[in-house]
Amino acid sequence: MAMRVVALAGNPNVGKTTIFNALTGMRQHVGNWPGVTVEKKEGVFEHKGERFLVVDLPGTYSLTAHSVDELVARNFLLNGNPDVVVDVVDATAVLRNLYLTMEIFEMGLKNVIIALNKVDLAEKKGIKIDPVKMSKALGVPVVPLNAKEGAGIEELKEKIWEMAHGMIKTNPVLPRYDPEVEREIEHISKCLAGTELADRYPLRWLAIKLLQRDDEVMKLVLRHLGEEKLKEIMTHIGEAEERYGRAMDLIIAGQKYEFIDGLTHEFMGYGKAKETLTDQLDRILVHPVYGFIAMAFVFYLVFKFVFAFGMPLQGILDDAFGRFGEWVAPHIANETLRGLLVDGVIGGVGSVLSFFPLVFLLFLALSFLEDLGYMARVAVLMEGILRKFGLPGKAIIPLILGLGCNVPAVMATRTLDEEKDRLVAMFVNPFIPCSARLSVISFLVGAFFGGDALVALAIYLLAFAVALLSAKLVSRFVSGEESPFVIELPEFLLPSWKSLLLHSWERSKEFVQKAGTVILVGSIIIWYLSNYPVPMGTGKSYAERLGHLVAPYLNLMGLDWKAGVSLIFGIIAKENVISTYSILYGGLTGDALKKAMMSAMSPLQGFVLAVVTTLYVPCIATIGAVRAESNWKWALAVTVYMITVASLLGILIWHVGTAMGL
Amino acid sequence: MARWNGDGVVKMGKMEEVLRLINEGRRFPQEIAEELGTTVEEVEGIIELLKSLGYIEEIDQGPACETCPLRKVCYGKCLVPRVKVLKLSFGVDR
Repeated sequence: MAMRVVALAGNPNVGKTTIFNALTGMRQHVGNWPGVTVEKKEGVFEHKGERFLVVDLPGTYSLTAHSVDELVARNFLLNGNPDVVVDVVDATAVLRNLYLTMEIFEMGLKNVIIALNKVDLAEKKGIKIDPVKMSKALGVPVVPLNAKEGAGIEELKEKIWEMAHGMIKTNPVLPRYDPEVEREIEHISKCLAGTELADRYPLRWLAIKLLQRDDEVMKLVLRHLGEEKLKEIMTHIGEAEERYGRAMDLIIAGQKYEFIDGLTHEFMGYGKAKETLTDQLDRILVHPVYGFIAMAFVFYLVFKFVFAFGMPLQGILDDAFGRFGEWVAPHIANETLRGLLVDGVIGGVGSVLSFFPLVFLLFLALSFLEDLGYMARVAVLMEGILRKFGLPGKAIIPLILGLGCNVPAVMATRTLDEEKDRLVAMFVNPFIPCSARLSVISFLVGAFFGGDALVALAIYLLAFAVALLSAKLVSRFVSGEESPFVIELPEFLLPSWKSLLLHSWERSKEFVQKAGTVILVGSIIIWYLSNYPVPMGTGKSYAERLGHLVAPYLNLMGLDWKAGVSLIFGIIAKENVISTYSILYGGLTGDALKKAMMSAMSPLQGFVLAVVTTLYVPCIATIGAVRAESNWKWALAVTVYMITVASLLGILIWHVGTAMGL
Repeated sequence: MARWNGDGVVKMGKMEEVLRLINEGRRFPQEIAEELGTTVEEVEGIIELLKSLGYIEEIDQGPACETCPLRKVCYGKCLVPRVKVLKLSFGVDR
């Protein structure tokens, strides 16, 4: 005897798979639905000596023809002749779930069982559902379940068995629409009555789908009844929409939802739900005033954490590279090779690599905030600010991405609809300090300010402020209307340490990779330039000549020729600023390098250098990304603009600071 | 359930109201829920339905790694805030 077929339908994430597994155990087969790459899961269960084939349909919110999943589910329900349909309904979101139920009922299916899952969670949320009353209101059996615990599965099997044997009579409730809409349904139904389509599909369902301009049903009408008939029906629908002033599908969907809303009052009530921790936290974290205070405090803690734990580790690494250089030096007889390896490679690359702990800890902190759900709150807070400064709210995502790396951040501006918005977002994105700039900021703040987290936070805030003001300026020239959108916030979720460490390692691995490639090559070049044609000190080395070329300009902001060489090499990769200083100071690293710089520069000069490095120009990869996403002119405009802003700010800070006696 | 106001205009239900409010610039389900006097969960549920009906679409937030020019040197994963950004596919008066 052929197995009876049970179709398992429901919204995504309602526990359908859990129910499928609980019903079928290990007796499952996974394949694809014919012609599409949608997974088809089938399984078998036995009850009272009879075997049932369970077909797990793709999770859908409705049965329109907008997605392949919906189409697959709909076609199976229409043409697969299931003996029983189990519609899984999430008890914590009944209103949304019953929309699909109503669509199933409208298809004329009668052998439907509602598997009311997550009843335990609903109770916790204060949602009270009476399954008996629900069953009466819907006209089909309702089986309460807690599939995770396996509760209710045996009752469900029994109900399926009873329904398959015709022991349960059902009378599914059909959504009723306003008289005018019902009249339209009736009119279309009459047009289709007596045709071959009416024999194969429920007339009311066909009429509703046509009113909703369902592509697949329109194709059916065209194929079976011809173009003339379809045109006649669609003309009528067009006239109706003209009268109502909006699309019929929205009117029908809206009224179906209202019908469900009314229906749920018969069996569902809301007790006093406990306010969740997320709700309580959100009242502060997305508050227009407290939210920003909290955000400043959170990011202060991030920098405090990075510096407090990172600086000692950085010192250890730095010391290790120094000792390594000292150990290597006596083993190399050739002076040039020794200079290249010890001062150039070990000094240059080592000075950058020693910042790995800081970069790792920053990513650890940011990953924690991201997985926790806090970065989403930051996005929400900043969204309003962005709009005030002429940026589309959606641009907050690329800006946050920029904290990691500006290249993917520039590419993420593709998510903005308007070309003008994209250009503005791309223009200001390179101002956001990426992780490479963090190492330079950490180095200079560590050297000149004892690793004060407030100074680092001030530089980041300054960079954000410059980005916003630049957006305000640029958006005046490239204005555009923002298209509407909505942002949903996730629940707060305590991340697992394992995933945090893994994410942070994956993200900071790039830093190590870069040290072994771009920084290594850069260090070798800088070492060559500082030792040829004659060693530094005579003013004749290539590096000194290069530095002296830009020195008059940098003097305006209190910086010398060494800063000039460092900033030039920083264009390749920002970390080169540190490695260049290391090589220019004869391969010094760590504390020795800091001491040498402190004797040559004041804290004010250190601060100016940190600000200028953060803002002066995007790295080559970012310039390339801007060019790829826009054009050369825009990439050039960004570069020139950034150099101008960084110079003006550098000059301003230097002169104001000097006047204040700093 | 009288949504017909007698002037030849069908009154809007909650679903259409949500769409209208998004169209008018409301950014968060919390704001919409407050205006409609309902819960955030219900608004999010309606948004899911509107997505399913093709009125709203989710914006893919991150750049695809495959197209990133740094893919050969980058082993990292971009920092992406866990927000779902949704936009209207077309206006309410489609």
